[in-house]
Amino acid sequence: MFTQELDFKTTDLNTFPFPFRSDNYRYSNDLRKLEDTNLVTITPEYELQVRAKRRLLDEQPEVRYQSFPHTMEMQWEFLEMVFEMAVEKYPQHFELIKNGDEWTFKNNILKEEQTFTFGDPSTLPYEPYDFAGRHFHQDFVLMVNREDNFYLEIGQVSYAALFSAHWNTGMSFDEIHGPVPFVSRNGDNLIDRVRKFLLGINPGEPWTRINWNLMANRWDVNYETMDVWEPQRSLITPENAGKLVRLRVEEQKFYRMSRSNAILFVLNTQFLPLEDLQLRQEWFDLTYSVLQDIPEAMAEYKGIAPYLPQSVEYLRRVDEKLKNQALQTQEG
Amino acid sequence: MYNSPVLFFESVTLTEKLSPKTHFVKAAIICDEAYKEEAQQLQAQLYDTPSDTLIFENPADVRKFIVEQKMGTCFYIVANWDDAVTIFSTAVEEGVSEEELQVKTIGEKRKYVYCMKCFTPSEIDTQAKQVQCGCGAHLNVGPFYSKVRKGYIGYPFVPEAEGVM
Repeated sequence: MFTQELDFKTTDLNTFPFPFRSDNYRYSNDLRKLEDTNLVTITPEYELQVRAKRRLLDEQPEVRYQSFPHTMEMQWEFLEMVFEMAVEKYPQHFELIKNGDEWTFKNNILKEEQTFTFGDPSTLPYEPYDFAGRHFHQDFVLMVNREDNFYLEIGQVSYAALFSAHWNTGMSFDEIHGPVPFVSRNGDNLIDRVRKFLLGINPGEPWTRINWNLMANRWDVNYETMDVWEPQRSLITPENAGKLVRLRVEEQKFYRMSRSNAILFVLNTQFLPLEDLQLRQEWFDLTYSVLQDIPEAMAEYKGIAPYLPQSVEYLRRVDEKLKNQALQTQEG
Repeated sequence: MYNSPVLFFESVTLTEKLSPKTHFVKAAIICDEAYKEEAQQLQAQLYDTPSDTLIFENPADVRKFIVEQKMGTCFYIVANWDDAVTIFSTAVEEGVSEEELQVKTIGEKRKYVYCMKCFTPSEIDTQAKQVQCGCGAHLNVGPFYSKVRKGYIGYPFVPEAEGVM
């Protein structure tokens, strides 16, 4: 049976998308233009994370992957886009050989090769979107643009934070996010603003934002397993929080698909145990400060309320220890 | 279409009292035989707005009645829950939007919860906050409704952990 115990974390801190820029955090429209528009990234944890993702997809296909039958053309568009990006950025790791509609994709990291007929799903072991997504560690959600809203029509999600591809399929952007207490410092409806912003994204000009959360000894908390992870959250203590609580960061990228006009959400989820924050003092200080200042409603919405105090207490003890050590060094 | 409007427990089209919607040039009323009086009360409030009334007997008649209406018609439904769902669905299939519909149901409404363990919707008491699914899972009834899953989300929980036995 698949274990939810975290057996990977970010080891190259330079690739960890640390989320905090100031010592307190409120929801804000923090979208910015993506500099590296290629969504493929190979981290030191690539193979571990891809294998974990595939295991989840195989064990819980209905939970982890959803699509409508009418999306097939968009699925091929996605496959072509990500495979070409992979080859462009990492030619040593990926190859794509096209002979008319007969294509061969090679993943040299996983030592895999698949020949298929572009446009014919029967030549692949999975649906095209599912097949292509299984070669990359990110989650992929495709939202189709109708009138002034977006509808989730394909989802491959293995690192959910209070989300479910199964439940959310077919929902509009507003339905997925509401009703939640999303307001900015000015009281604006941020979901409405983000939706309007997404409407304006052009093909070839992707955008990005960072979302964060904490995770108590799991890499995903979906609705299907709420009976399992909800009670586990109360097992967190100041003594074990350093190892068991992870800062979960979701680097979100938004691409306008040029043929279907849909928006592709690419979610790169990375984890850092609280104890590893000490590897960068600035990260430790910012995280400690931010977590002390989280409003109750936000903690409830993020699902971290039951173990936030223990996590803050862990950080306080470390902070105290670090300050004492510094004092002793000074005195010595 | 998967995201077409559906009639559910908290549909925006549901009302406790039918009242004429403005900006429509005609009213088309579809009601159960037993609730003709409701239709007559609405007609009295329509004053000069022309109206047609159909007593609901079968979906085929409803479809024909709806298709024959002109643009600018508002549809009013007065029926028991099951009939209202049939009439509503037929209207949506014929291209009627929620803005062009007003529904009053008589008697018990129906509410469904979607179990996130066995992925099955089941009918529940409309006041219930927690239920047990046929698969054995205990569910907290959430506030979110899915048109695709045809129910309110049912979050699984362990009764012992929440002190519910």
